Amino acid sequence: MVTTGKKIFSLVFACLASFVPAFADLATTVDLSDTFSLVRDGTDGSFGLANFFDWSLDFLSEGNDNVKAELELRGIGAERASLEVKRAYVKTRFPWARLTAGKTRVSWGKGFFYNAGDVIFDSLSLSGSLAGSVLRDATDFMGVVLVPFDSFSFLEAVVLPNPVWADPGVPVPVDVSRMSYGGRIVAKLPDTEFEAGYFYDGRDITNRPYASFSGNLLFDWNVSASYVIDGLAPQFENWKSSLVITEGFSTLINTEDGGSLSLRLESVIRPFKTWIESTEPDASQLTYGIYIFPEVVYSPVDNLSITARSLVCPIDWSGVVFAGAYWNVYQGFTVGFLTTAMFGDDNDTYGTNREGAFTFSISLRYVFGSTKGEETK
Amino acid sequence: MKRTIITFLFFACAQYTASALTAEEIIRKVEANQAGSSEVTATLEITDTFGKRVKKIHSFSSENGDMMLEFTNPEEKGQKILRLKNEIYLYYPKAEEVIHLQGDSLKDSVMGSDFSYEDLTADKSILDRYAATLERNEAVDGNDCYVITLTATRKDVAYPKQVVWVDSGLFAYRKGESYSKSGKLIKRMEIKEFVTVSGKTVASNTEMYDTMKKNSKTVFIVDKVRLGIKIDPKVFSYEELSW
Repeated sequence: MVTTGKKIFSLVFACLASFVPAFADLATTVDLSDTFSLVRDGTDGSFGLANFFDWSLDFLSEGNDNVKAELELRGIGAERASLEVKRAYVKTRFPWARLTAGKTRVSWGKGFFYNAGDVIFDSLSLSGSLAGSVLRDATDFMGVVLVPFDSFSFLEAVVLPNPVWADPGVPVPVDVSRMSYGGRIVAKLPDTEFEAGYFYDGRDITNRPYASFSGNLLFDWNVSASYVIDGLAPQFENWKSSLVITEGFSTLINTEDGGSLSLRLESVIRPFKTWIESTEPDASQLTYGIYIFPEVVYSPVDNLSITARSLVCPIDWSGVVFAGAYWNVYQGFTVGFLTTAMFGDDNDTYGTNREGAFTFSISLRYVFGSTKGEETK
Repeated sequence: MKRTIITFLFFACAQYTASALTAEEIIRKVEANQAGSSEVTATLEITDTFGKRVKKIHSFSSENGDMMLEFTNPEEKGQKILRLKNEIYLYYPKAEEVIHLQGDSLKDSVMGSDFSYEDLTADKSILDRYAATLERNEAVDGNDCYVITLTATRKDVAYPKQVVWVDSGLFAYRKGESYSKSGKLIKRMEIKEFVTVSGKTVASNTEMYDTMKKNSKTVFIVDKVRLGIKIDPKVFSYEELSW
């Protein structure tokens, strides 16, 4: 029996693949990943096996220095694939500006995992996979204008229409007040990069100003701060309680054996939130004043990396720890050995009694594709 | 990996014209001749017990030492490295994110040789970190070479001692060896082929061996190189990095 997901997959793949011989200026990348996991359910202590298959097809235009387009499709599963258009955009540049339209991403603010300056996609969540090399990659439909005024300083304006889609995929016009828009200025100062911006979020009628700084003082560092002003009933107390500050420190060390060691420590601070551990039974739903994200990545050789990351709440002393080893065995083929474990009490932010409180996984990933250069060689 | 590539590019774009000189003068002439703009398309082949992995790059270098490097192989396609005088920017297309590195990251050695990002800029010399001694002349593959020992004068170098063989006719590196504190040979580099571009000699095939790893070899092949070209300064900007 052919499922709807399979039909979509086959149709899209066949259509796109048929274009490949017609357009030489096309780079294609296929990314297949299959993960087998042993999962312990902390709620009842039982163990189970899970299989997670995900894939992406990426089509990137090449050959035109001033126009670029990309279509990336992502799916989970094979027989009943769920299909997502992860990226679908066109961008072009003129001597004075760059224009982008479609589904893509902009990264505002500074920070690898915690970033208060990411007022569009919100890089403050306390959960999420710690396994990937890219931890934040949310996309949305938007229009972007970037105007550079020197090599590393620019203005950027963005508008997100927040479309409501009607059958068969035609967007319904959205009231202007429900659209999101904003802008930022990025400037390079001596030894410091400065960034400040404002974003009106039409999805929840809020205003989100922010500022970020980054530089180097013993370590590479960054600091970002933002707060939320209710668009309908702006009050001091409201935005004070929403004030968020993130900061990060990182450095890279070359080890004597020729490898490299990357160290990173980030934290998110909410000065007006709770700084004392609650003993209430539902305290796990609380937002505490501080959370931290430490990371160590050791690469003894080019094709092997060992990663340890953690999300920790130092107030209730709970957390989730991830450790993984990635071995790039052959061209494009990587084997991963991954472990995730939570620690903490029942009413802590993280706890050993949660679903998926412990997992051990083995992942196989293969990335392959072709580029214009390879085709013409 | 990015450091590996930058090291190879360093050697690939070294060309020389001089006659017999002192060790310091030879090194200075080598470095003086590294200046100049270039565009390089290259292949990096990494061979180990499990076979060969290939990475492809495209890079631009300016006269003042700025460099923009982009990976073009599918696995890392679109990832870019921009090296400016005192800083490095990394671009990851999936995250649409630019990461800025400064400070110690620039002082770290480049892949086992004692080249750091700082060394690779135009206003830095390897002689700031090493004392050079001309040992003798010796033939490498039938080509007469100066054999120069580089002894570290500072502690913050990856290798306290290096030996390089500089072709006395081309004034190009033919060979290099890096030693540990205990005097153990750790890395060995051989330039297998040169090409002449715009009247200059360029290393087009360089092999690197890590003596700590069996059956391991890294080959840097220059597929295409243009020297002395005019490069738009915008190539070394945020706009180009994130394009």
